[in-house]
Amino acid sequence: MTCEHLTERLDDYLDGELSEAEFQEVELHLAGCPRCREEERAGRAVVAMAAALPRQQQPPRDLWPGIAEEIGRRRRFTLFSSAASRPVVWWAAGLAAAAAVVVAVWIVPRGTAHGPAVAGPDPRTVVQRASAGVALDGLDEAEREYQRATAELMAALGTRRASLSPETTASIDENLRVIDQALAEIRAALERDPGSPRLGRMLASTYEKKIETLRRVLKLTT
Amino acid sequence: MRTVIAVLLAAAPAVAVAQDRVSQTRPAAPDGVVQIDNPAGSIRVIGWDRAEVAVSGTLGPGASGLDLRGDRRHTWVEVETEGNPHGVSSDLEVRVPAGSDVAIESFGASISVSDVKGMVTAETVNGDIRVGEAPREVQAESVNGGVSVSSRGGRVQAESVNGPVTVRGASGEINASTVNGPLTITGGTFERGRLETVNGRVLFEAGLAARGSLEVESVSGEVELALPENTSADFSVTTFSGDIRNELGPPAPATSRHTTERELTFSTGGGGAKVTVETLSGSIVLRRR
Repeated sequence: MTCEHLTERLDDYLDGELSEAEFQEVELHLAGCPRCREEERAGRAVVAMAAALPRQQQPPRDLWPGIAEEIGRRRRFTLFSSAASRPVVWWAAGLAAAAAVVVAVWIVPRGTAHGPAVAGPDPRTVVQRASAGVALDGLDEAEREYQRATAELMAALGTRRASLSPETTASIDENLRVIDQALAEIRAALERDPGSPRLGRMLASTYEKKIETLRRVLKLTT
Repeated sequence: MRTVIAVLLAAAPAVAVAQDRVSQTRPAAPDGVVQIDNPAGSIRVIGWDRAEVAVSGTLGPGASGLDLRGDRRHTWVEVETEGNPHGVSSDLEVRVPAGSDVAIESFGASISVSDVKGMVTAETVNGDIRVGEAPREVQAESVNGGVSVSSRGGRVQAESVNGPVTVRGASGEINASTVNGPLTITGGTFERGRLETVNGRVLFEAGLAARGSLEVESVSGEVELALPENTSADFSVTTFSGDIRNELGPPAPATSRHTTERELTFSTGGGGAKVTVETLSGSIVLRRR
């Protein structure tokens, strides 16, 4: 099996829809091909991110088909790109798609988002343009989506702060600081190694932790 | 003067409620759903062999009453409040049919659940969550408290932002995460595990099923895996600036002269299970249990 053959079968492989023989072929190829293994893991990460979205806050039914279609479109586009650009574009675009889903699902109604800004990264300063080309361009897009979601949630949290004890707000702020520090460290590592899918996934999952933390506080303080 | 007396009389019921002890019971199916909402204080849930839900305890200042309602399949237990509910601290003991699914939500209550065999879901912001043995599935999430689960099997999802997450004796499937607290998994044999932290320490001291999988991701927290001697697994271990100490296989070579990244792939016992560990700066220790 060639890398191109694997690319064609990867979706079905991730969805568990291959025959036993095809499954074994893919497994064999993955065992000996680090690049395809990276692609497989990036694919799993995107699928896992989508699967991890909260059951309670699914977007309205009429919104979901569009999001799903967008994910599918991006996956198809990237999967059938040239082999040379495939790994980098795949994970960067995958992150952007996942981020878009996160934003669509997590974002709070705008009517509740009029509070003062609170601790968190400033979208204007955190997103730094880099000279690393496609990978960081795609990553920036994903990061902007995550930052949009966190900014909305932070604003909503700002409106609830008066009802929280000082100890609670201090704890929340401290943990958001820890997450922001981690995001800065991962971003710094990405500046040194801009093509790393692992770092891209780690950045995405750390943003998700920030979003999840904010969502949980907001949900339980409503 | 009459106005003052009228105000005092009007306030009297609320004061009386604030000091009330409560004790209410209603019939419930042996395998129904029980939802509990208490803003703060404590919630203790105990499974029993009766087909009824019984609530006892004390309502704190600011509570306007206890609402116990529903039908046999679905029971709601809610502390009703006046004004900001977050400071209304009530202590409840809720006995439920052992086969119930139980969902608990709070802002500032500590939560404990024991002897419940159904699914247990518990969420709180400020407070610890403790779930004892028996549930077939556990989802426990705290923001600023610890989460402790002792479970024989099934599926466990345990998350805390700031507190420690500890899972003992579980097996089957686990999904656990923290931001800043330690994550400790000890005990059984897992089919599938995913452990994530930002800054906490991860200790996994348990077994893996023959074709099981374990994925661990940490940004800056240390990761330690202690696996049984006879583990058959394929390992993929990566850190960007941390150290790797491997007592299960070969040492980790540097990936490139130009980076500090270290990547290690190896197998034990012929392989089978898949173990993936990724950190940014957290050190990684692989050792025998």
